[in-house]
Amino acid sequence: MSTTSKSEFEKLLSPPKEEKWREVAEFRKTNADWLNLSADIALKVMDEMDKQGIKGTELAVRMGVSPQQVSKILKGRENLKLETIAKLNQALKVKIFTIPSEGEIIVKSDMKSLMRMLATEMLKLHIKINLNQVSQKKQEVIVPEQPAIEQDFSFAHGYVNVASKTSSKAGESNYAMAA
Amino acid sequence: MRISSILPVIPEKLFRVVYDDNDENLLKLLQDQWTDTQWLRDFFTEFRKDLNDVGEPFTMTSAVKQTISDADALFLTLHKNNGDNLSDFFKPLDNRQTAVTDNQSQKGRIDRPRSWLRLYAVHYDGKYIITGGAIKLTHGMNRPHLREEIYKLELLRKKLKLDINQGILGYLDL
Repeated sequence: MSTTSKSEFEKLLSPPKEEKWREVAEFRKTNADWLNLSADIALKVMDEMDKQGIKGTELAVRMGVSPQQVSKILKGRENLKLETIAKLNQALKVKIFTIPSEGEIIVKSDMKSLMRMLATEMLKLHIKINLNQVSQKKQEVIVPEQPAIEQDFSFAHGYVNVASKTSSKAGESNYAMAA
Repeated sequence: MRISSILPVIPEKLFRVVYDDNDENLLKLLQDQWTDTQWLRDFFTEFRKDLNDVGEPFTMTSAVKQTISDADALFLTLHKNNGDNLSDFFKPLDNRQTAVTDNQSQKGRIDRPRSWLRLYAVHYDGKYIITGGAIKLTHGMNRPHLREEIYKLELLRKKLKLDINQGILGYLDL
């Protein structure tokens, strides 16, 4: 470092000023979860605006808010009220942000994600069926170890058999009793 | 564009340049842009081809989300440890230069794969003087916004009367 450059540096050097980016960095770290959601919503809104061919001013009119408010939303840093989200849904006639109802699942629109989801669901179903079958088999094995139940069944079986040997009229009567 | 002053960010370690045509804090300005979904969407729309050539398929949404996440990490990195980690953060602008030298043009980036955010600084007398920053999607610096960053580095080097020829190497940033 030469003396000339040092003196140039000294000449340019000014007292420190507020470095607000530090506070913002800390704020963004603390509030990362909702900021992430806000960015997702903003991106989805812009995609939908492109699809519908509308500008921010048109969206502001549809929502009944100022263009400045829309501009803030599109930056993806606003902590949006539920009321604002509902207005966005209504203005764009799509569900920008929604909570799935019971039994509903969220699937990405690309084929790879759809296939992955289907494979996962089929695997779950397959496991469930297999578990049921195993459980049934276990019950079948347990049956002989419960003589009281078997005795009851043989009694019922015998009773019906006996009834079947009687006249059809008597059989009907016995069937009714068994029911 | 002229340099009107240099302000300390972390005393004795990190400084930033102020230009006469825009007295806004350049770090705050970059933070605002790099966390603004609309600004980023516009940027990636303009440089869609460069984004496609990055080497990994990025959707607009994934590119914007990654940039925001990287920007948050970058500003936290810059701010933490009171500037003691700056020599890990800043590297020579030209990848072919392995040695860190004084009066060298440098780039600052976070250690994440395919992170395209850059801060540019001159390493001067053990200090780092930030001149600007950019989203760099290409290998070289051959884009208008990147050439402007090279210009700003040279502007500071001229202002401090440093060896200009040394700075020209940085143009390649391969």
